[in-house]
Amino acid sequence: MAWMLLLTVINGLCEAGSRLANAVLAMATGALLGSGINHLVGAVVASVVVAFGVGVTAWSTPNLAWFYFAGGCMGVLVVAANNYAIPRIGAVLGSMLLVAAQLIGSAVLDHYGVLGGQPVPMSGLRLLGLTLLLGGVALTLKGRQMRHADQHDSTAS
Amino acid sequence: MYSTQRMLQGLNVALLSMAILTSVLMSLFSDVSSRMSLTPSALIAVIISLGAGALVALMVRLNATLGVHMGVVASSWVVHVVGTLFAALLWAARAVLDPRRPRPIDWRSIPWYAWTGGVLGVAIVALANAVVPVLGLALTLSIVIATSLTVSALADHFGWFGLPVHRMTVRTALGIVCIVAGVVCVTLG
Repeated sequence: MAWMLLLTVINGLCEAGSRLANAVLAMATGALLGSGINHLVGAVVASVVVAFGVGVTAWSTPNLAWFYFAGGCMGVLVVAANNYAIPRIGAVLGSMLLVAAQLIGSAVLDHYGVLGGQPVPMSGLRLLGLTLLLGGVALTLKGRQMRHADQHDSTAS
Repeated sequence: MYSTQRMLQGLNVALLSMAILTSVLMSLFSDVSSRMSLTPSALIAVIISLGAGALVALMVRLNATLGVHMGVVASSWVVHVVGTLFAALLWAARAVLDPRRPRPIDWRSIPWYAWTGGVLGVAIVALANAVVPVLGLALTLSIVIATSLTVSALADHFGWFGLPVHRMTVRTALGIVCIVAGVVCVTLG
């Protein structure tokens, strides 16, 4: 259990590290090319792991609709958006917006049972959670604005 | 009968949270208009990030189904190969549509760790797969998000890796607490 908690923290470090590293790359290459390189490097690493037969169940998936293979296209846009956002609004605010929009989107998809089998109706606790997410984003944005305003005042005087 | 009661209850909570949200957003945007403290490119970044988050909601489902059919790493391989091809396509399309010579890239100035984003991306998939069945989605997601937000806050505050500095505020710290609490509520609800 303790090991699992440690692994989860490492997962969080990787998550932040991946976003920050790619933003650094993108400051030199631009958001889109940075995202493309991210995916290329990921493809090479995954190729090596797959070559050892690790994490492979089947290569042929005749029953799967074509759009299940389009996740990578969305991934490119998401990483590019992250690359654009981090230098401009910071990693914290960027991640917060991403997480908030993701969980709101997931709750809506759950509610109607889109792509997830049985619908999971919106509950009071979920709505409270979504409100907290938006509140967290709003608080951070507000703090950022006030600091910018302060800096603006101090440079003006 | 029960479902009607449940619907009314849901409606109540919805109205209450809408009211809270509206008041927060109103105070926020009245500030924007009076001080214009958020630059246009920052505003674009906010909107793009929200759109990206909505895409992630959809993407996670597609990739999860792909993972069930193909295996965790095989599906991650497909995702990254498709992504690489799609990025190349977009890159080519932009070169055709906007034939101006792009700003030259100084490859030598890029630090080594900037190339590791894709490696970490694959590690995230593997780690999540080991951990989620044991700890459950709620605990895993809240720990991952709390950790990554904390690291991001440090990087922002100190300008790690040569990224622009965004100083920590009390509101940002409270914002992180709100986000993690929100994640717990949503994943348990």
